[in-house]
Amino acid sequence: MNKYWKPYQPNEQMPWNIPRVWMLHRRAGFGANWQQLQRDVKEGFPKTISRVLSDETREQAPDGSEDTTDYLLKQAVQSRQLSRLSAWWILKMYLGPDPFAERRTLMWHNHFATSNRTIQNLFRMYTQNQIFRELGNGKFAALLEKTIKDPAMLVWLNANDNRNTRPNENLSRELMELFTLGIGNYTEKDVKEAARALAGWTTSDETMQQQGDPFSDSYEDKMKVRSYWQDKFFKTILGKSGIWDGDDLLRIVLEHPATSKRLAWRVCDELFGEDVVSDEALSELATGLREHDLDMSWAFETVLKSELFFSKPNLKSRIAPPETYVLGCLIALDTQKCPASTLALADIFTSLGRSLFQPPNVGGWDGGRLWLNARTVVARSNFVHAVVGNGLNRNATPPNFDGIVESLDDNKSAGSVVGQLGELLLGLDRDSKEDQAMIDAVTKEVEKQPAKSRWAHASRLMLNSNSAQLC
Amino acid sequence: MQLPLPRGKLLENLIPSLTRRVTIYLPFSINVEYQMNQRRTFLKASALISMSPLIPGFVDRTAFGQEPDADKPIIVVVEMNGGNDGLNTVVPYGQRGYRKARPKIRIDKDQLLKIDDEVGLNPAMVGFKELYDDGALAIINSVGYPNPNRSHFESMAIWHSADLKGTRANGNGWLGQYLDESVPKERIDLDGWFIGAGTVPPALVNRRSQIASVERLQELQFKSLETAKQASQFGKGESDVSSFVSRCMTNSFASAEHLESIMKSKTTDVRFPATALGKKLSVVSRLIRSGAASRTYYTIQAGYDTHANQLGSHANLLGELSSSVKALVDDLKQAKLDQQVVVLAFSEFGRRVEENQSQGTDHGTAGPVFVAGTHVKGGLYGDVPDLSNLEMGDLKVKLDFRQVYGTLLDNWLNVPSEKVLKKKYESLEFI
Repeated sequence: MNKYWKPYQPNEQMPWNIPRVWMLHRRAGFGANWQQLQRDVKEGFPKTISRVLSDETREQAPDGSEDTTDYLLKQAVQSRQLSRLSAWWILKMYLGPDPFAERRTLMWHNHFATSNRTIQNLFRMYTQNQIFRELGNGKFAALLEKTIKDPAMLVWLNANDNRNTRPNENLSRELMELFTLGIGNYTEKDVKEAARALAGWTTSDETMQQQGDPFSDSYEDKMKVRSYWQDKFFKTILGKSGIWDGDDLLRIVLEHPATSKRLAWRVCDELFGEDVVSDEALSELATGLREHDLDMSWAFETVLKSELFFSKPNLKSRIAPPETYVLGCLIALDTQKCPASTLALADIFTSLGRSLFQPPNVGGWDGGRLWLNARTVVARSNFVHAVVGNGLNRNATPPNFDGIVESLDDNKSAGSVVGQLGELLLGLDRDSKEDQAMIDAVTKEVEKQPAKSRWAHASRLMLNSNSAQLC
Repeated sequence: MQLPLPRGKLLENLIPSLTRRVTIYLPFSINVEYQMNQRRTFLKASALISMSPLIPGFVDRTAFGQEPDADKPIIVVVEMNGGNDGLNTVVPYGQRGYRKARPKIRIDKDQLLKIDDEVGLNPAMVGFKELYDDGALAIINSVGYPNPNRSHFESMAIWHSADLKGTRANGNGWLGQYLDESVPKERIDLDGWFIGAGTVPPALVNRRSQIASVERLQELQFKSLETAKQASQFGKGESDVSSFVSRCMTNSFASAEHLESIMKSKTTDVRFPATALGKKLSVVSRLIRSGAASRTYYTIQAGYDTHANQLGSHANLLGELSSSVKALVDDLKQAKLDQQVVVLAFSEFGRRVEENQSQGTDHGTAGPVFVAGTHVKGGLYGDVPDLSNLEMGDLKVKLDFRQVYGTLLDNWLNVPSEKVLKKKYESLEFI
């Protein structure tokens, strides 16, 4: 286990500095403000990483935020407007107490990509989301079982149509291709046999869903096993024969080594930049996952504490996904006290390609380089234009640039302010020649500006730069 | 459901109206209105040449005002959402059954735009009649599928997936499947566009291709292009991913500027109707003319669910449809791009033969499909509905909609139709 996933120990080549703290926040969460960056550099790696892993990155959530999110959730479900449910989730990412949990939730939303386009039921979308949040950092077996047996997934992949007499392979195929084994690790016959094993797993009567308050205690929306649709005959799945039912199927796919490899890939896909993790490293992580009974918290911890994660090639090597680009910018600009409208942010997420609760297809978002295209590059730039200009909040109050600059350690010269803004907004490394050249160029540019609009302009330039597209 | 109001400043900030009462709908528009300022109309070719190693082919082409690749067939789909009343669209005026079934919402023979001595188009469809007379409109009659489903949602799902189950094993839509079969490995641009609000419709869902949705062209314009361009000069890294970012940025600036020039220039004198669909198809035309490499455009015209007092509203819809499609064809013709484009208009089902008590029509079965374009072999295809030979009071389906898709795939989009439709359907030869 120690060839590729050695623990990170800060040293001269890989110092614990702002670029690394910055990356940790953007990748494991969404971003950090100047105080958080400073605090974490000062307190050191061990303390910082245990704060991230223990879900206490943000010491204090803003006043009333728990009540607020709860209230927004109920309003969203009641209104049946998807953008409101997205706004609820974005609020948790943006201001909630536990950004790492929201990052994991997003990862699982991508892994088990389910769309409200088909579900048309926000309470079910919420319930599934909550499963990801609550079980996403534990044993994968529990997460998988709960997710598969949840009505959202059953409806999404046509479980109600899957009967012994006429099997529907949708759920069994995606279970193998996307949720566990990955393509190439099963045969078409396995898919067919697995569909038979899943027959009879259905949801309760659909008309029930239209009535009643879903948040009341008496409301029930669960999987219903219809034994008369079950297939009680002999099946062979992945080489194992028996009179298998759905639970046996889950056990069989969980035991298969390909599942651990796919999970290792999923975690690295969410947290690493391009071409950092080799296939050998993935295999080693997969082996470790198997040894730890597919305990996801072990995988997250191993990865986030690894030397590989903090190695040079992993810095600024990932195309910033929409939520990181948007929230990273808002958090760095200290907008928490006068937050941007999360309903507006839901629209912006969509225009950047991340329509929450409506992934493009069952495979989720491909991400990476596909985040950038003629449409989304414009949307990113226009988002920056709006935030710097009016903060996207109800008062149209721009971020307090002067306040941010005042809080910097050294705000005497334009050069050092721009340098620190570069660290804050882009995770720049002032010891690197390349980054310092950028800081100098931006400094030269902002010195032409009147003092009043100087820092807004510096931020605008930096947030529009190529560097801002990476994290 | 009564909810207690939570306390706290945060909520107040997020939702201003909340403290007053519970309506918390926040209509969103980015508050800064779009400004047409300080933008250069044309690309500076010299600047592009100096950066050329970084520039993908699309920009190279468009920067020099060249037309998109002529060998790339483009399809524009108009979804007539709600179930179009085919009988009042392509009217079989020669049949006695028509007068009988439609005592109140019948269209007089004299008003019809006659196609032949059997059928005539709804009087509102002047644009389609002109296209038809030019030989650029195929009217395909009695299209549907076996055991028609009368649910909007389920029937639309069948048309979108091209699968009678309403869903494919891989979740793709028929156009998504087509794009997956045909997109090159190395892409430089989006593969398709959905012009409208919200997310991409199921027909375009795919595994590999890139689709974006856009409602107005303004969404493709930088609010501060000069800043964005200036900023993109900063922090260019050496790594592969950094140069990719640079290429994307350059590409976006070039397409935005080119789009801008297209928007300003009056290269054609065609006027699109100032209606929802007219605006959408003018966006399509501009995107095609801007040299975008995308080959699939999808739009929705809603409102065909005419259960009551349908004569006027239905005529408005058909008028909007036919004048907008005509404008698109004309606009592309003036830009000399019409050879590349075919328009498909379909609805999820037709309506009942007999009108209902509210001077409307209820959900039915077969209906007409339209295919327009310079390359189309204009004419009437399929049997005109026979009102003396109905099935439980409904029109008989004579052609499978997958024959229409198959013909387009094989003869226009150059992808073997069986790859998308799983089997070969008899071709209709309208293209």
